[in-house]
Amino acid sequence: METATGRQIAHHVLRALILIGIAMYIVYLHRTDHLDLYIAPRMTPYVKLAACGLYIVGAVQFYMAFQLWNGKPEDCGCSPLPASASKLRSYLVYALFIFPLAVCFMTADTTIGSAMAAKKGMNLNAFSALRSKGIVSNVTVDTPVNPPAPAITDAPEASVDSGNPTDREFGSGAPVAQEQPANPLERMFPHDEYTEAYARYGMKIYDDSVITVTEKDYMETLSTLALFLNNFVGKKLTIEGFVYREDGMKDDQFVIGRFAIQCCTADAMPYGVLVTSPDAKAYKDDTWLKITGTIDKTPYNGQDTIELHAEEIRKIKAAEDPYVYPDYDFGM
Amino acid sequence: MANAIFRWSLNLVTFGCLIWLYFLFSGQHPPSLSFLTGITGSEWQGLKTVFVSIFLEALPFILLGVLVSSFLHLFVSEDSMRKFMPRNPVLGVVYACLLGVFLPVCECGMIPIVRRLIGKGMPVYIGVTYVLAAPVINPVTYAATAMAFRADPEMVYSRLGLAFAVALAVGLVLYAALRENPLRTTRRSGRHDHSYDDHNHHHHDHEHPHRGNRYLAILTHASDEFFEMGKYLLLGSFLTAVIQTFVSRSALVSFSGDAWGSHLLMMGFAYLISLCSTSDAFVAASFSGTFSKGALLSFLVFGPMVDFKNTLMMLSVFRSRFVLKLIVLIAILVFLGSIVAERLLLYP
Repeated sequence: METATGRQIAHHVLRALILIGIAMYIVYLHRTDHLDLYIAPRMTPYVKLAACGLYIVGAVQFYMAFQLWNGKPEDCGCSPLPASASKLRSYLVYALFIFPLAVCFMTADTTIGSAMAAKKGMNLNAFSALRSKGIVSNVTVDTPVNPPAPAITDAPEASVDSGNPTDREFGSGAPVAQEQPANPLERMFPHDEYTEAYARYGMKIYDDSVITVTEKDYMETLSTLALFLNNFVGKKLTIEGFVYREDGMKDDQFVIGRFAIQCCTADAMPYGVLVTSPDAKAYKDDTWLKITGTIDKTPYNGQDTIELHAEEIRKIKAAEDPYVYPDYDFGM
Repeated sequence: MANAIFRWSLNLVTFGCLIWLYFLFSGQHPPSLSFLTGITGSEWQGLKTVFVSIFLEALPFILLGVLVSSFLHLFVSEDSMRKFMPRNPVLGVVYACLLGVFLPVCECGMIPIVRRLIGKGMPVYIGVTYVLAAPVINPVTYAATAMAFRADPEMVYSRLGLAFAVALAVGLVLYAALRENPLRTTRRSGRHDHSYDDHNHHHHDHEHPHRGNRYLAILTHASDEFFEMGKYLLLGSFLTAVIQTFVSRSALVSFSGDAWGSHLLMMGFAYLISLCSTSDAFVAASFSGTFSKGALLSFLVFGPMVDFKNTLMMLSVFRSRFVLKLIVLIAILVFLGSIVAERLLLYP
């Protein structure tokens, strides 16, 4: 009986330590501003709330141990003492909790980088979802096929690969841009109700002397560029991110990109732009760069892909929060 | 049997842990060990990052789940439970499918709750249907999917529709076929429920002289269940992190042969990466260039219902043979359903 109580106390104390340890780890991550390396900002309040909960539950475990220590039996008759065959095994379960916790505390917080991007596969065509539907091919065709002349003079870039009849096949029936918008800019950015947000964003950035891929709209900007690529060929673009290489890339090529996160780092997807530069070799994988260059179009893995001819490359410090997040207000 | 598997893997993991602890405390750096086994530093980083992120993300939901479960355990009687249950089984299954609209809890948090509800007399087929349907059929997942597939609104509706159909079918099959109680009865939880039934029905007041302790009891039970579920969560997140770090997507893609192969592949992929149902839509969308929409649909429906992490957690609650049969049934239904949906809806 005596030893049974002792074991119960030990279990309570171990549990309390683990629960509070997990809570402390969350607090530690929050204090060092590293919580964002694991969890998207919109999820962090819940994680912090969980830390509070764990503190309370852990404190109650201490209290229970204290009660037992004072000789008061647990009144509900449902002690956590596992009626196990082996005493050792019931303690080993705690090792399963303590070990990862110790390792996490003792190793530095790091981010995922190009090695993980290679496993996940870099998204160079942020809008492949639309391509499969055929909207994009419609978009690229439009301008020159329609007789009115001003469109061509207004938007020389838009007509790059136009009139290619094979593109039409994909475009099938989707009734995009049936009515003729008066504004030539609007005609360059035909859209349906689902791509409207991108078209409007495209019109907004079209006149920028240098288009910037902002942290806030990283994915969205890349999607817009991919969707209306022909309109943007020849324009200047500035982008920040880490260097990544794929098998089969040429010596003067690499990708600059970042991970986009929805909820936690496990669902991170890398988005990036193919860069060509004569001194590409000078930049190792995972180096953070700020690149300004001219947008071009190149076939890569069988798809038309944005290609950035780098003109200015600058090494920068890795962004404080290396990840980007979807902009939930985009197009609102 | 699952217990044997768990014990075996537990021993293995513990053994590994001890070796690592030795390295940590003897001043040798873990990378020196990982170097030996060919793990590069960046892979180790990726492993840790994914592991911690999955664990932290699931933590609030697990905690909520165990708190709600112990609240139900202590404050809701079987009788009041029964009042909320429709008598008609078909109606009951439909009700379970739609319950997620009002009670949206992530799948990790749901398992302890449903175990408790089944213990309280909720029919098993209703409980299981709820576990399957709620992660997909709820407003949060709807919004996330709609955002990920901005350009394909039919994807959202076919996801909801197929999840509803599969959960409904599973519920009805279970109603018709399930004879025995599939709950795993461990010695401990058996003792638990028994003693509590006694409390609630007979001499409750004698056994609980200080009422304030009932609130403490919620937290004590929550801690019990947290450790019970937590070990599966840890194991699940760790193995998921291993898979994410060492298995490349392009290698997986190369396995898929024909169109049907891609359905199976996407289901397998969903199973392995064990993402939350609120974030998997974006991952699916990133595959749109590679796979047909039907294959993506199978990913979006199968993943939230069954995945690696939640299989481990289900095994802690249900008998392993039941879990196995359930997974096979769901896999077949999702596979066929996604093919039918592809023919009828996505490419009409």
